[in-house]
Amino acid sequence: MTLSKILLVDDEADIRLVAEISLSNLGGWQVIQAASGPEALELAARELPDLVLLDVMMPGMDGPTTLLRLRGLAGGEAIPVIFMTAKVQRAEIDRLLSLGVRGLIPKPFDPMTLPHEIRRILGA
Amino acid sequence: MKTPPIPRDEPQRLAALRRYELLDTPPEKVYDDLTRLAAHVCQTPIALMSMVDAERQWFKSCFGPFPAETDRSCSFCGHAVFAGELLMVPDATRDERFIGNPLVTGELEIRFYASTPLVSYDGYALGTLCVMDRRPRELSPQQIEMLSALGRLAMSQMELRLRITEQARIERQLAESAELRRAILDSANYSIISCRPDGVIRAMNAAAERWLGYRSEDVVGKKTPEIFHDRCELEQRAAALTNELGRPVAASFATLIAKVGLGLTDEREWTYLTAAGRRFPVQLSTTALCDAAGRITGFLFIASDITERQQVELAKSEFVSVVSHELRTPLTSIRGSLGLIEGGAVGEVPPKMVRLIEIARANTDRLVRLINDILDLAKIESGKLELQMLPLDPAALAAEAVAEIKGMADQLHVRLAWSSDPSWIDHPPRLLGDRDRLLQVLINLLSNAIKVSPPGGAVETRVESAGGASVRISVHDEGPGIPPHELSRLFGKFHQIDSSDARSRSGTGLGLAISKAIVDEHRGTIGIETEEGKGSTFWFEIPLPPDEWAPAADDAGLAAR
Repeated sequence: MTLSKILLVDDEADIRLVAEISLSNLGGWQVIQAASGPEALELAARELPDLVLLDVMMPGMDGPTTLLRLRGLAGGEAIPVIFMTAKVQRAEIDRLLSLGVRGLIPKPFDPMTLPHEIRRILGA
Repeated sequence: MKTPPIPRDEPQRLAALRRYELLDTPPEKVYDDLTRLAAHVCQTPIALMSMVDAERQWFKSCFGPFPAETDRSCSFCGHAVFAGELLMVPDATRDERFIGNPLVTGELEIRFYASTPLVSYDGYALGTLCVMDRRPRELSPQQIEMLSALGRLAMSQMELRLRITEQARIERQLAESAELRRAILDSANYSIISCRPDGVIRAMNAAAERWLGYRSEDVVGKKTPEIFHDRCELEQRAAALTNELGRPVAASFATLIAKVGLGLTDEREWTYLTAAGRRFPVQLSTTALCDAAGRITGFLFIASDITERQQVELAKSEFVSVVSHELRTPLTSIRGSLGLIEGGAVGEVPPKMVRLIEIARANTDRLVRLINDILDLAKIESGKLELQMLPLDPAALAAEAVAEIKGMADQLHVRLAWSSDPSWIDHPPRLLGDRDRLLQVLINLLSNAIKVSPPGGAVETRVESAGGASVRISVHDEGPGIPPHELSRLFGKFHQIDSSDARSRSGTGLGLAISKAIVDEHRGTIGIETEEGKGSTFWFEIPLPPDEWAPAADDAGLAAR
């Protein structure tokens, strides 16, 4: 799988900016952004990204619900998803990993190593 | 007239008299029968059963005309008690002891007196059985013998009476203490259930009845775990105990008593099921009841309702978790922005700014570590650590920790070395522990050791057997050592060794407290050996499951076999 287009989903604009700089400047990927679950689903259906970086705690539709809906979209069932979360308790991490994602990046993340971390998780 | 002499052991004699609790009690038929018999046998108009008190003689029974009591000083019986044997006065007017005695000179006109002493089982003459007449006379040998026999009868009647009184008192005390015990049990805000060794319920207190919704009579005689315990929980616990004790524990009453049956203490959280099917959490403490020979005669289950405590804990842990998340979100932006600037991802940073950006980024990292540690500690303190106990190889654990910390050691020019017990080559022991948590402890000790090491210094990790029944993991550094006055606070919260070296200040001060809590949860011990100027060795020991004990652990046992 070649990675070129990443959908970045986070309700915090500041975090989106930091991650976008890292992903595009350092990773060399095309980044599209969504600020909520519904927005993410719409973008995902239209753009069919190669990867979704999905925040877990969002107002309204949270990350796990967004993931579930994404899997129900035509073409959305196979898109790799990596969660980003500020909840780092082990039980919570285990629960999230059991939902069918490729991996999990805890917040705060280091933007300098984020692209490397993504490649490591995807095994590319 | 002579007043009766006082016996040498008078205080003891009076105490013995009081013991019978006979003085000033109403007449009793049995004693009246005895005096009537005495009068009849001796052919006298008067017969008395006299108790010689400190100042008076008092008559328990009085046959014929006589006052209820008289002064001891003018009593005939006082003399008889002093003598302690049969006393006969054929004619009081001719006996110097009684000349001028008011009983003789007064309207009673006593002339004749004969008595047999009433002697208690412990040898005190308490009084007499006596007969009197208004004319001088004597008793025949048969009459004397009969009088003595009646005296002995009177005394044995008194002993019997005493025993019955004492018995009644003991029974009353027993009843009172049983009542008190019952009242205490019933007013206690604990559910208390007592069982036979086979788990059949013997009794339960009022709180147990109220909380569980059963009446004692409905459950006494039935087996406990089937009634109050959740089947699922019982099975989980049985499996855990099988693991912990290294032998099969059935998911039945055996689960509840597995530990106390081995002489261990057992206090833990359980769920109780009420008659109505409601569930509530309890802190259950189990005690084995033993007889004098040490045989188990039953078990006591004392439970307190911890619903409220759990709610508070849940609220606290939720609060900590929310706060931690809320702090992390802005920190993600800060840490990310600083990282991008420091890493040059958004253009070159002016040299003057580099150091400041680095400071900001390093301190943000420290803040994140602090939040992680506080979260850990809050979890540990609310008992929510929930270790995932699995068999693991201690040497592999050490190797992993050393590999993980290598980057930090290289940066600070510290050499790492590690070794494991040479006797393990054939058979390395399997430790039962939470891999991630033990790794956390070891990495914490290693990072502390690296921080205090001088450049070029070495940090040595050793994994070895401790007496065969535990594994000891130690981390030795060549740092400055720890002064004695710091030792007591070392494993406390927010404690950091005074140091001018910035490297040692980058920690949170919670690492050792967390490490200690994790080791404690594994029933292990953690400690330090240190000498100022010569470095320190931090170590911890985790007990091995019994089936992993090395032969060295019971060498003595093997030799004896």
